[in-house]
Amino acid sequence: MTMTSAQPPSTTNDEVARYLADVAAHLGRLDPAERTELLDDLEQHLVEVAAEPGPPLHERLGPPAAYAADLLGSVGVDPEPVPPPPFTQAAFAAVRRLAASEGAATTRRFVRDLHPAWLLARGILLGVLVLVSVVHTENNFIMLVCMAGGVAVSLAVARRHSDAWRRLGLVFSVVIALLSLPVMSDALDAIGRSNNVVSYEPVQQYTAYNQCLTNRNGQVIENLYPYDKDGRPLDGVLLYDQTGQPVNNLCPAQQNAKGQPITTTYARDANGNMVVNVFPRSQTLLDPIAGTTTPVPPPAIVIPKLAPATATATTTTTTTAPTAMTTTTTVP
Amino acid sequence: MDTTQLLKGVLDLAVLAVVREEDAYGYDIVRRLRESGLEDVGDASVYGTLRRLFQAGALSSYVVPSEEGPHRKYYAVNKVGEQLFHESSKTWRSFADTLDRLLGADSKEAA
Repeated sequence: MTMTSAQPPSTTNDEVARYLADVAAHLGRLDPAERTELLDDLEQHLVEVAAEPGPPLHERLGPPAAYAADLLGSVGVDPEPVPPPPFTQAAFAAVRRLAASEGAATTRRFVRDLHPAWLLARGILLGVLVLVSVVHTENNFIMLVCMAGGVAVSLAVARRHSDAWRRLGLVFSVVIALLSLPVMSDALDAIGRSNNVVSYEPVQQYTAYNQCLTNRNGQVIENLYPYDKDGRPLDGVLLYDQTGQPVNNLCPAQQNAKGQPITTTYARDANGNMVVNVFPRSQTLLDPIAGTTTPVPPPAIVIPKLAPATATATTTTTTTAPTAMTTTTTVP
Repeated sequence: MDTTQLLKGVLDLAVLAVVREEDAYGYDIVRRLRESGLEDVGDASVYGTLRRLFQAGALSSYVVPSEEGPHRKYYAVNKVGEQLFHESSKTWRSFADTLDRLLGADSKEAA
């Protein structure tokens, strides 16, 4: 082992010192005593290496950082762990800051304060769910009992502190919250409907006709067609209700199904007053284009075959021909 | 096949073998390992292994003063090191034999 004369000791020593210093910079993970001893020995080792004829230390041994890593690895110390990518690091740091922030603490306190209110709410919701699904009743007392029962159950579950009961309580809360969503949605719909001014009853839309006669389908009655039991259409029939009041609350016809305007011509008495309870009312259709009027045809009907009458009717006037009205009838 | 990983597994044994032959100092050991055929062995790895074996009590050291150059620290295998060497060589032999057997059938096909 000879020292080359080509390399003056001072240069070699400088190079060794520099390299050593650079390697030492990466040995922070070593325990101080071990580190000192290792560096002392390493200095001597590097001097030997540098003494051999050849390229400078950097080229021979590689970068100081890599040398230090190899050294640590073979000594048995874990090398520096790989730092996580900057984005992940920043994200975790941000989440930690948020969790530790004042706002987070306030939110946590607020949620804790709401807990009793939630216990009550979930009890009531449980009661409502039971009412809606199992107990169908309109009895207010039973409804109150159901809700009170729900609240009692909710509080009873919350009072137990063991892990199993806590878990049950959590599951209970989640299930109630989920099941209540459709119920709440329906309830809100109902409230909305009751606030609605516009109602969908067809009769009520015709405010002018709110006292009109309507049939079972909700349609307004604009004319009545009397027939005798043998299926013959009658004309000029006067109708009265059980109080003797003329039937006078039919709706005035406006137009037919096709939208053609209808004109109603009322019968008149000898004085020229309108008699509105003569049926069928005389109604005509106006064809606006042709300028012609045609009578409104009677509807298609089915005359049932009536059983023979057991007793003769007290009032009979089954066939009449339209004639002048007698003045004895009261005209509305 | 990357021999770096293989070397990491057997460096302890190789260093012990070299020092057992003849007491040696750091750089000498590196040189002798490379001369024996382990050309890729890293200086830092050898040095680190030396330190570790020393810390583990498998090697003893002494300083030899030199007139020409710096004092050198020499390493020698002690009793613990000797035992470690024997156990490690047995493990190695067994492992190498197993692998040879495994390759035995294939090497005939490859030939």
